[in-house]
Amino acid sequence: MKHRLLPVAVLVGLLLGWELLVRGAGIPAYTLPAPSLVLQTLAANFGSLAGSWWYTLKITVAALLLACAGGVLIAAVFALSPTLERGFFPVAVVLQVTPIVAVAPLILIYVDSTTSALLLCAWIVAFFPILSNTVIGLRAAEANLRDLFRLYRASPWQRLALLRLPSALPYFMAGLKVSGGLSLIGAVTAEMVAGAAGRETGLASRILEASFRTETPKMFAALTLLVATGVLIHAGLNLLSRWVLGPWHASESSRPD
Amino acid sequence: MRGISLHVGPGEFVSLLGASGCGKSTVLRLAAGLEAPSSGTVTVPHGAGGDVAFVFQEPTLMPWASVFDNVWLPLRLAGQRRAAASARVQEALATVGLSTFAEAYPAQLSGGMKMRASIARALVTRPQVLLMDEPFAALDDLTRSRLNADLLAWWAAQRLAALFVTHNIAEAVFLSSRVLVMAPRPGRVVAEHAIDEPYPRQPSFRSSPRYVEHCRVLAEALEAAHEAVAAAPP
Repeated sequence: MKHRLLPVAVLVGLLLGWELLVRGAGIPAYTLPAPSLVLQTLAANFGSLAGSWWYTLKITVAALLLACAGGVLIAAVFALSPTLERGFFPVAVVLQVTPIVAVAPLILIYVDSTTSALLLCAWIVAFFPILSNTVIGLRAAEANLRDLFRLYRASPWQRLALLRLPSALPYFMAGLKVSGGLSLIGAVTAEMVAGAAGRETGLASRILEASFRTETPKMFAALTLLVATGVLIHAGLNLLSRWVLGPWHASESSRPD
Repeated sequence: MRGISLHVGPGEFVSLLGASGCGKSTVLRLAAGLEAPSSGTVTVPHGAGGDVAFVFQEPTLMPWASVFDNVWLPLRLAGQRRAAASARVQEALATVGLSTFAEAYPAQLSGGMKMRASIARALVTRPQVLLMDEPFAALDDLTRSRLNADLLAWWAAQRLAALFVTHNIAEAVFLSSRVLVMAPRPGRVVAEHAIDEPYPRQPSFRSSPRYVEHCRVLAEALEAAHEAVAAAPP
């Protein structure tokens, strides 16, 4: 229980310090709103913010799912064909190292639908950790197990499905945890570049909008929702990892170090 | 390796005895077809069931799969569905005494039990040849002697041709009908010693004077192999 209470206590302490600082120093709300005011603003604007939150969440989750599918699929193709891997892995690296803020304006020009453009940006940011981790994982099968599969004349497909993919699972899960956070960052960054346009808008647009009007508490309210979303994704992926790897992998073992 | 010639017949238990680096494991890997000889031939029988099974030094179980699924693997790779293979898998698990651990994961088993699961996986295809690469080297003495006795029972029941690699003289004498002593650089067989003792062998065989005599002969052969190497110019 102690290891769960500690982070909560730290968080509450920080918020309390923030509240006291704002009240004690008399900082105006348009510079730094107190947490209590942020909460009030969040409650007052929840109806409109919830819609934007839902939009951002949809893009984030869709990008993450597509990143999983794309990352694993490309990794599997690379695993089956070293030639393709040599040829195309650098392309993936180029996609990864190009800052998404810099490419987003281009993508917004080429892709008509803003939603699709945001999705593409978030996907580009999120798929690489899954790809590179899964590629390593697919090569990480134990040498003796590989011999065993050869001995029993396993087909390439059987080797992939029964040996290489399960061996890659812990690596994939590690990549997924990184990508979970990145897909949210990608979705928000791209929307920041896109600006508040279109009928449906996400939380990034709301933050921009509020900043134009110097509604600092509202900016914080939207930010709070983003942080909560990121934490939820992280916690969800941790649970998933425990569920998938718990019974067998050392990383989820309950045994102390 | 040079000039290695050996034949293992059905119902024979042949051990390759030697220090590390003398090519014992390579002989085994050649026999399994995991490596190709630079010259010479390897012939294994092809008949009903799986022809060759291999037991590694480590249990080599898939950590993500239950004991049942691990033992099912060779049949699964041959295209047998879970339901169709179930009876054979259960039978193999019963043989090695792991019936109640079918749903356990390898991480939950002791070293000896992991090796039993590994042997069950080897036996499930009803192979004609069983190749074992120092399978009990990492186990404690008590577990090792129990597995030695059990292994002889399984070997006799299935009339296997067994080729067993070890560096442990006592183990080689207890198990084998024939022991080949190997020397390194180049890896070769320097002595052959028949253990003319009837099967089934009881644990009491371990304390008999004949047993001690076999051990002495093999220890001398092993010693001689090493002195010859030490004396030879590099």
